[in-house]
Amino acid sequence: MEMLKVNEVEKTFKDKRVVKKLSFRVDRGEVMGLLGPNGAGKTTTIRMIMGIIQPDSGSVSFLGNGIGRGSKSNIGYLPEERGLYEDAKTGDVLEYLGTLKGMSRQAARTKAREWLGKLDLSGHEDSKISELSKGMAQKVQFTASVLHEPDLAILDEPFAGLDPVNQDLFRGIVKELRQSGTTILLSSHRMNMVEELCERVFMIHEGQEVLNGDLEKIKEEFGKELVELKFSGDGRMISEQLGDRISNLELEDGSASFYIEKGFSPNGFLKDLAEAVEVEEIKLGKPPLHDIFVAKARGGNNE
Amino acid sequence: MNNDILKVARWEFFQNLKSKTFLILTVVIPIIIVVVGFVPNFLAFQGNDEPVTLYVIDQAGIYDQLEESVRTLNQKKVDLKLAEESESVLKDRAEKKEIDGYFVLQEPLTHYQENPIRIYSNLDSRSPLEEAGEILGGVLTRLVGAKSLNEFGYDPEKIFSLTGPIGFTPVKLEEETRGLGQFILPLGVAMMIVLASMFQGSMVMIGIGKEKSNRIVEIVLSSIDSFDMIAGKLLGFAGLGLAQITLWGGVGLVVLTQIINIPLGPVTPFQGFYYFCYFVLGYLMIASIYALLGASAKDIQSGSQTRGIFVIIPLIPIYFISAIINSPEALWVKLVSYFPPFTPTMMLIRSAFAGVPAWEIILSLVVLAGFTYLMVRVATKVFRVGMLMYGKDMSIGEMLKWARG
Repeated sequence: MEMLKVNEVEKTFKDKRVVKKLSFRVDRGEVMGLLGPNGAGKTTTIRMIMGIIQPDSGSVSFLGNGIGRGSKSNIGYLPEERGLYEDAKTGDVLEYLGTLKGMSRQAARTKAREWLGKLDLSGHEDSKISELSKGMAQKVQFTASVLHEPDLAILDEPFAGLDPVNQDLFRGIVKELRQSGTTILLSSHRMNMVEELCERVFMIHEGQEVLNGDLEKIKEEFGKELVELKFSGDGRMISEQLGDRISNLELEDGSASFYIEKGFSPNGFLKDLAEAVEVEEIKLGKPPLHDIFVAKARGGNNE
Repeated sequence: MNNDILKVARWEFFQNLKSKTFLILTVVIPIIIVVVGFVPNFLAFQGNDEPVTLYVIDQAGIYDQLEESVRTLNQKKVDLKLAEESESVLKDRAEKKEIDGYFVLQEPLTHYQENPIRIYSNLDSRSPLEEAGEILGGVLTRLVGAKSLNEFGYDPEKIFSLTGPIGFTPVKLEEETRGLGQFILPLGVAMMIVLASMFQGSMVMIGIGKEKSNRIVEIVLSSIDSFDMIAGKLLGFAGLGLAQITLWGGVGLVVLTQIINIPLGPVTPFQGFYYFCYFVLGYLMIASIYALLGASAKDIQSGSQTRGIFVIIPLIPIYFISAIINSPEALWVKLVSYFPPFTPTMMLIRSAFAGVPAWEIILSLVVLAGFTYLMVRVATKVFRVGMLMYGKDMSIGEMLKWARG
């Protein structure tokens, strides 16, 4: 079932069109990745979804209705740019932001306590935001975005600025949210996280759609297979022997990885490879999202 | 009223109520006003409490009558002592400030002597001596006059009663029915609008600037409408302003009625109503101007000189207060009262010094409310655009463009 629908939205600042007729949807219960290099128009798109800025044309609907007071209280939002009331107490800030989302003060306070416990911040309810570390403040801001148990959570770079321990913590929480039925639109530059958490991705570049769909299908359609092998011998012979049938060759001592076009002839390939080096182990797999992202962001397809 | 506006207002009210800035402004400002306003006068009064003691070299033989007459006046400005030392000794002591001063009563003492009697003194302040001179002059005039009349066989008391001065004093008919409260309260409210809105207004400006620069605004605006956010902020600060005015006004009233003993007289419910309305609307209007400035500035430290012009606009009527007092019913005063930034202070000053018809008060309140609403709308629009502009002040041209858009 369609939860969020973005339909041909456009936005121009001064003379620059930063979002060009973007359309996509987010289905109930899924985690969808919103990807794109810096300056691609992701944050502007998210701000239009949240009703913070208005699109010049096109529309955004949530559960079939336009974005308004009712829908805003059912969407959680973690902006990329972090900020909280520095002089206020953590508990007070969460209570206030919870009430703005339609919660009662009591319910917001109780939920805030629960979340602070879950994020290892018990005992910081009365600490001022200015007394918290950057990572702690980020946890508080994350809490503010999910405190009211929204149907849809829009998380813009939730892992940025976190140490590996807290990245793992956040990844676990995103999975928990998905299991509890929360729909998530996740924007991140951490492709390993996106790959692990998202079923579908939507990628924009210079304000335009460049990828949209099921992650596995996108990998299928990338048109290349990733070959990883261990060998003995002179690795430079691989490119000499296989020539332009392969691309993106990366050599290390005794191991190599490269792409080969889909539909290649396995017999011929294996024969030529065996002539170049002594193969000890070979794996064939789908390309990582990171490589697809880089290829799209550079404007090509590595084809 | 929209619930979101109240939520923001509540947050702003309690967060700022606890802030050091607010507490300092609320407590320290009245103390400064009291110190600046009352202490110099108080000290001046204190300085005059001690009477000057003057030694009299009596060559005219009138000292006893003079001393008795001065004593019976029961004043506290001058004491007299008969000099037992020579003039040169008194002069020496006066120069060393061992005595306040002395004077000589020469014979013959008449009304038509050419030079006034000189009080020789080395005191730093001239005014106690002038006051003493006035008292002594009055007493001596009467004594010498009585002596002369006696010599001519007239009864001085009778003559004085027949030739006493006839005085004039202006009495404004309306004043009979207007208590002091009719002057002091509206002027006090006008003053408090200016003070409270200047202090709170800058807090609004800093608050909005901070919200822009620390980006909390994105979370707030992802939950509520930007108009509700700005309106809630202003309402919260209006609440703070009311808390301040209640405290300041309460202390002021206690000081006036209980300590200085100035009866304020009755204030009608309608007067109470429009004092309240002018305060709230005037305060909101000025705060909304500050909100606009905060929304258009790149950061909280920013604020070009052109912005300063906006801030002083509501203060302008204060500079014209003497002109308004002299002619509170002049046409220009009436017309300018409807220029919204001047309305609250102008109308309050007018109502202090002339009867303002109820319809004018209602009309001006409506104009003020409409203008305030418009300013909040403009601030909201400018804020929506301004919050996405980084590291750049919005020019006045841009401000107008976005306000119209």
